[in-house]
Amino acid sequence: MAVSAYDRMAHLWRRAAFGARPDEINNYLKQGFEATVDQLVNYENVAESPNVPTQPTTRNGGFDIQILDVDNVTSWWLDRMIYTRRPLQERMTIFWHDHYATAISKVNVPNGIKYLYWQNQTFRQFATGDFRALSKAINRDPAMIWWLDNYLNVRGSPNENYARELMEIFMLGLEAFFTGGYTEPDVQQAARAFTGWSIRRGFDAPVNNNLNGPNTDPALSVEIPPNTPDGSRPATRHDYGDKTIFGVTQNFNGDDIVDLILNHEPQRTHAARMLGKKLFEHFAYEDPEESVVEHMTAVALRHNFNVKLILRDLFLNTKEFYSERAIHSLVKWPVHYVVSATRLLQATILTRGLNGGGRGQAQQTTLDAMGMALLNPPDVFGWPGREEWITTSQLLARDNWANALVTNRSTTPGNTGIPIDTAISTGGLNTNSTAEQAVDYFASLLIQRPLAANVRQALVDYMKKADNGAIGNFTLDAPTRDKKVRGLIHLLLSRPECQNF
Amino acid sequence: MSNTTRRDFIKTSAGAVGAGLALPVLNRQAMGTTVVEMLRDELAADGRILVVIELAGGNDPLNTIVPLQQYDTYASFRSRIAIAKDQVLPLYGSTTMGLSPNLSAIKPIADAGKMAVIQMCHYPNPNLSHDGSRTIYRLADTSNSASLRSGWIGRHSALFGNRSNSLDTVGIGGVNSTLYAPGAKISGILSDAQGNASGYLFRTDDRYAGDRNNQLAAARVNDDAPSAKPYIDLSETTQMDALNSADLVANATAAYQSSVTYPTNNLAPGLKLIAKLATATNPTLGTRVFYISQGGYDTHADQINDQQTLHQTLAESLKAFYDDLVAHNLVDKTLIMIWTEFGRRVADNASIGTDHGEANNIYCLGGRVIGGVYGADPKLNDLQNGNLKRNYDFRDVYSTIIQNWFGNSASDAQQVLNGSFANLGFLM
Repeated sequence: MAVSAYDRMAHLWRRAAFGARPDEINNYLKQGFEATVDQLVNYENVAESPNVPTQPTTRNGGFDIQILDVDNVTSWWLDRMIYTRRPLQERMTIFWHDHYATAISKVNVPNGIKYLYWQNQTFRQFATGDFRALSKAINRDPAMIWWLDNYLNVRGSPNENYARELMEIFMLGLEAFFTGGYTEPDVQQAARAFTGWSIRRGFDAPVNNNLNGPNTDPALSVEIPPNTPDGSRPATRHDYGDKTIFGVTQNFNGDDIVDLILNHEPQRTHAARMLGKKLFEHFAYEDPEESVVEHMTAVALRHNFNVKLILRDLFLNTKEFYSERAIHSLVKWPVHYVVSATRLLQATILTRGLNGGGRGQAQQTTLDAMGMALLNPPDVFGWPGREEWITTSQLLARDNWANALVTNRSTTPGNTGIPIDTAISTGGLNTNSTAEQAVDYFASLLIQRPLAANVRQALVDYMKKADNGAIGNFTLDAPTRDKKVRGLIHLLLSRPECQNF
Repeated sequence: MSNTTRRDFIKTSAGAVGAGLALPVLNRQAMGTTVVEMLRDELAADGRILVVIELAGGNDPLNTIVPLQQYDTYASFRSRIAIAKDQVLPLYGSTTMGLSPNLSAIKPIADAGKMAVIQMCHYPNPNLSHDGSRTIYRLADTSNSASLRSGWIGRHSALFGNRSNSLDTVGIGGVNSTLYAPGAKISGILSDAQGNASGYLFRTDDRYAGDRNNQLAAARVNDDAPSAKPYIDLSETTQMDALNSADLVANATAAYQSSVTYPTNNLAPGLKLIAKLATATNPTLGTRVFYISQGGYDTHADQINDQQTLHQTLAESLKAFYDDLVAHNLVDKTLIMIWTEFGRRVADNASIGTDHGEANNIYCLGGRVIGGVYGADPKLNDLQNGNLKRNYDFRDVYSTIIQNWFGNSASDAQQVLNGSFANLGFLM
């Protein structure tokens, strides 16, 4: 059975963005797939929403980088995701955050949160950019240098951590290790190339119990050895000798390693395979057929690791992306779940207190309970995802966040929850609408897939049930909206079907 | 859910649990019950519990169980981090190895003959990556095959656990790949600082308390047919398990009583929650396996301070937990297994720490442990690439537990572990 145009457009928006409402999907259908993919992929041409905060807000109400904390950054990032008109940029920022997973749990040193904030900006800057440029930016990223101990990597006493993860995770992939992509000696030699790439210690010290020092330029926080020794501290700590890597002998430095991997075969093809496959699995479906992996490898090579062109190809030219196998086959990551529900319901929420707890209960805790504390992945491999999102406690965390969302009746500007009347009228519903129409509309909004008959009936019955369980008449008036529509939204967001997208 | 559905059978019989792993025929009555199966079922009915503690990051064995007979060699390798000889405590069952002073809190357990140190466990062709090695231990699989996505405890739970009990296997702090296998009943329960379950209930609108039962009734309705989409059936099952188990957990933690004081640290609350769930009697929760993880063991730098904090936290929390089990008459029904993904290099590094290594120790504690030291001492003069060589395959420990703790047959153990391993005899 061919997938309808409507379902394909809805799927595109669920995957390349954070979902779209039925009325929006119909508008996008009018402008067509090419124009829509262009809008999603070439997002720099889309005027950004004024509601997207350019900087986090610190506890003094402004932006003081010295007192920036993890809740400020998480709240800012969530607000960006909720309001952005460039959703693919934020989707890819999440992708890179998982790919180059770096956690505040270890980078909890002075300037740690500042480094992670800068790292997040780097992911956003290179979201759909050149993978080579992004890789080199990560080489000199202060959060990454700390996270993988490269500040300890000095001439004569190498620390392999960054070089190892660069090959195993960031650029080549573990599969490459078992198929001739790289060897242990390559890792050890590559470690020498990164010697001396370090944090500039003592230069940016916090004062007065602040978390961070005053420096606002990431480049000044790191010291990178020059290409030829000049007596500077990073130069004396760098090993300028020849290294033999993948059979090539040269006095490689860190950026040369990136170029070597992306220029030299078979590493170049291994990298293309890793990147192509990972993007496919993130946006289309998991464990793709070998023919699909080969296709994505070829696409990545043809576009020379330009992520925008790879994604444009995926969304416009790759039939597997719109296949039945792709549609609704992935589990929403907690951040997808929270952001898509908020956007689809046009809700306004306090992102620093996602479960309604105000300032005291940070979204870190709520997303952490779902299994995904932003800026704090479990380790350098990121979030394992898939079925590991689906445990009793993590589903309850989603259900309870949904309950907090629907029961948010605050009148404080910026935190008014779901505008129930707006949500209802956007769906073409009114006081004369039936329970069936209400259930069908909100299911088409939040799940975007037909419900099983018995599930639909149970929800319809719920809409009509009095407290004693007796099924009565239904009128979509104000009391019903406040009680049953809010309850319906909670139930739909808690449905097993709603955890996929 | 008390009856295995045809859907479950179809889902799990197609080799999905692991390569070469076939699930037993479900209609046991037709086959008859063997003597071994009777023993296994009796032990399960006896309420035996396995508590697995993962030391995440790679715990250094030589500064946990310290070489005394080889002390000079040890100190010469580790001039920066060696524990002073006169501070090392005597270790029950050995005259050649000692106990780190940071673990003094569990010395009484060792001295009572209830701690087994299984020395130098690992696997062939060591993988020095955290994820690589941890995956091998969790999945009990050295093939590096990306297709096998079930943990050894998950497989055991899927085959021999109670498929109608959503609390059959509980991960404190969450569920990880050790516990996961299709068909295993696993719940992840977070602990708060008081050792109570955090957020483990399905909330509804407080404004309309009378509507709660209506919401719950609708939430409990599921599509009967297997879903054409992946993960949906798992979500359905898990959501139902959540609803069912939330009440049980709340009642258990409310009913818990104990005179034991747990220390204040980041591990004790989780162990306390395990105690609350394990000691529940009205009703018994029937959990067979609890899992908890203590992070921070990747001591590349500043090992003296970091490992001291970690070990003191571990030992003090363990002692309180053990005392709690004793007070509730559960210590003979509880086995604690402590593992880590690799040991660390024998020589220390310039950052006053150690880099990734290979062979390490596995520690077992409990009322039915035959205490002492198992296996030859680490040979500091016979290293490979600066790392310790192994005595045992870590799966020997797993096999011993599967057979002697859960009462499974050797062929059951073989099925779970995809191979035959030795029985090390550290359990009564």
